[in-house]
Amino acid sequence: MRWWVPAIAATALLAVLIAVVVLLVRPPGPLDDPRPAFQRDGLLRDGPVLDTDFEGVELGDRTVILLFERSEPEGGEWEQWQADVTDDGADLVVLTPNDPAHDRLVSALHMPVPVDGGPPVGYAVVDSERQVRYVTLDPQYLVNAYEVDVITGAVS
Amino acid sequence: MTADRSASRTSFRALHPRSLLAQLTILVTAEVLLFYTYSVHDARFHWATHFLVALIVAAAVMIVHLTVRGAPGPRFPLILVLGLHLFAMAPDFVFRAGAPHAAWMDVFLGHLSAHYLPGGDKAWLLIAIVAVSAYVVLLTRWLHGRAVEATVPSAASAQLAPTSAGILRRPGRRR
Repeated sequence: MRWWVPAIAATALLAVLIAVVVLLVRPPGPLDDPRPAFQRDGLLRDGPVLDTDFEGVELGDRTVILLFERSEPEGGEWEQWQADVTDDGADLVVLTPNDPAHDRLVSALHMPVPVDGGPPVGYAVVDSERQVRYVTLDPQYLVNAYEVDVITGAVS
Repeated sequence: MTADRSASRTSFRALHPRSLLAQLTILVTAEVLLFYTYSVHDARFHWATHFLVALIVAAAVMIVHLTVRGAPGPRFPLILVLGLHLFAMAPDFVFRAGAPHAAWMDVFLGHLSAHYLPGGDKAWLLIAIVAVSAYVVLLTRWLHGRAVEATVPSAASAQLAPTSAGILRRPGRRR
């Protein structure tokens, strides 16, 4: 091998790698957590224990998924997601900014604030002892139903 | 002479062009597939972190090999990169199988902690460029040394002193 070949080959491959990382790995979008490492980290938490009742949202006795959205979700993909994440017996509560319990739960769960500073789009999982076990922003939650299943399966 | 040729072949084993081309094909194909699987779950950020960490570790292994053994290695350097990437990703396979992440999973090339580096993937990219460049500089010097050695008559060759990286140097001559 000629002595200059590795330098030429490495330069070309590094140029491709730089292009992939800079152009294809997107920075956080408006609905994402400004700290990418904290979004969908897959780690169970021993978070705070919540009250039993938040303006009509009852916690305890079963695993509850609290989904935060900016408007009521709808459509076939949503119906499928809903069926997928509740098929193991977990309850699902959808909270939009108009919901009376929204702000109190956002505060109690320490929901992260997205890049655009608006209401969160993501979810939290509270176990049957009312302990917060998972909190994340996830604007793409509809394509990540299995992640919710892993978390609810682990805490049930 | 036969022993010399055999040793020379062994030294260049990791640099065989056809082998490197085959490894590059396997690496690129596998990485495109892995990138796609992370991409459909909006997780390119994770693919990049673990790939870059694997690349840095592979470069470090190759630098140590060249420095200590005096020859490039291991034999399949690009497969090493892929193997280390799969190792770093292992907790994601476990997650897919139904187990959340846990702190101990940092044994997989810092699977969790790697994401908290200030600067994120851009910082890992910079470190990877430095690590790969360092290896390429050492490898280039080693290859240049072999080229010089091949053109120097054997009597003069006997007076050459090997450096720690296996690069030959004339006594009394500053590099």
